[in-house]
Amino acid sequence: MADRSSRAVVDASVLLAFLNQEEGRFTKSRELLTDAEAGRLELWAPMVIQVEVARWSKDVDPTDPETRAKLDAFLDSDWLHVVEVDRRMARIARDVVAKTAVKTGVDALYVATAVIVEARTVYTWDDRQQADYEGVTGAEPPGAVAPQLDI
Amino acid sequence: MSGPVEASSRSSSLSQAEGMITPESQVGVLYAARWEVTALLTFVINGESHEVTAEQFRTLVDVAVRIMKDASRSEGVEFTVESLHASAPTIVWQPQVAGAEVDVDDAFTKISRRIDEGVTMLEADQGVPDWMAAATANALYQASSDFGEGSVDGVSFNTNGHARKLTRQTYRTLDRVLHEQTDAIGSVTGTLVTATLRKGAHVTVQDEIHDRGVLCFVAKAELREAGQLLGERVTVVGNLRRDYLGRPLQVRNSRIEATPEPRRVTVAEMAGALAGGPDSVTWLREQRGG
Repeated sequence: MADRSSRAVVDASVLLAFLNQEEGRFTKSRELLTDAEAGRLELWAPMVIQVEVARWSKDVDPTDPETRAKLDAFLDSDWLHVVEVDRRMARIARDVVAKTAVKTGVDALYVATAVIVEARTVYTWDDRQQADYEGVTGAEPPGAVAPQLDI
Repeated sequence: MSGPVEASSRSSSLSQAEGMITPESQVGVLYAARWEVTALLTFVINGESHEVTAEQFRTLVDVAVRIMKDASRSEGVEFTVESLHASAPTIVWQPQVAGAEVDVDDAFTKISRRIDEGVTMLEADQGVPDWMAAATANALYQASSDFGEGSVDGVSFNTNGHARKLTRQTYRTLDRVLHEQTDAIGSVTGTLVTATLRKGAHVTVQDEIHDRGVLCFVAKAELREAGQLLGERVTVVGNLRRDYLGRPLQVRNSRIEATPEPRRVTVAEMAGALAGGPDSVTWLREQRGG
């Protein structure tokens, strides 16, 4: 069983790997999201995650309007807590960019979100987000908290 | 006050702590003492000991514990109060390591530095350190309100002989920061709970992120229309004022739109729903740049 704190930030890469059914990433991504849905942990993200996932889905170009509607609803799920990008978050993100190896402003927003919601981990598939800032570190989704049954 | 209030059998560094130099004016000394180490972190109440009330002492101890907790968060080390001697009065803190992989020296250095920099920020009017929780900042604000005006001059954190003192300047800094507000165009989403003309036409929206009522001022002509949305989920866009934590306080020049509850979609329903798209990490790196 994975050791996991009850609150974490999730990167868009985890949602995309789940939606995209990516080999080597899908199962652990699904387990992380399922744990959040079941209330076993809190997942947080900056609000920009909704734009990133929506923009990625445009490249997939699903013709089925029902799928698009479901994706919109999925991004508004109550288990995904979104944090607005305000001045305080921007100030922390600027500091992250200045003091760590995090390369981009958007990456820094995820780290800043962790600082604001007092989470220790940013779950991501991108090793570029493995920053160490104020005790916040990046990590791959560790697997399910609870045993999973594939039915 | 009489002590000890709480005692523990572990006292590895207590003898070292007792040997530390403490100014005569000290009425309380918190020793965050490490296990078999030379490094020490102490918390000292500076003032006239005989005039410090039990309530003041309790309040300042509470603040010190909060600060230590915040500063050591995420380092895998937790400081617990080993014993509290109110007559001395001394608190000895014992570090507990969360796991074998924790480098205690490294963690202690980080915590000491964090406290050092935090105190410096507060004393230099540079704001509140990010590691300090809002509740701690508020507690410190309350506790420091009479620093320099009564029996307590301030408090000090001493890390390895390096003293950092919180004085009345800390109260001024917190007074400024905690009342800081920012304005920007923004939005609030939640349930519309009131609509009234009293004190200016406005509605109240229960913000669903922070679970707080936000006053949203609208043009009189729009109030009637807004009244039709009572009890509904709405999004209000306008000049949004937030407090220093980013919590919405009020919206001016509001535009109110009905925002129905999103439909529910389960995680299982979306598994692989958009398979065949570009690789997540590669695509995000392209989009984000760097």
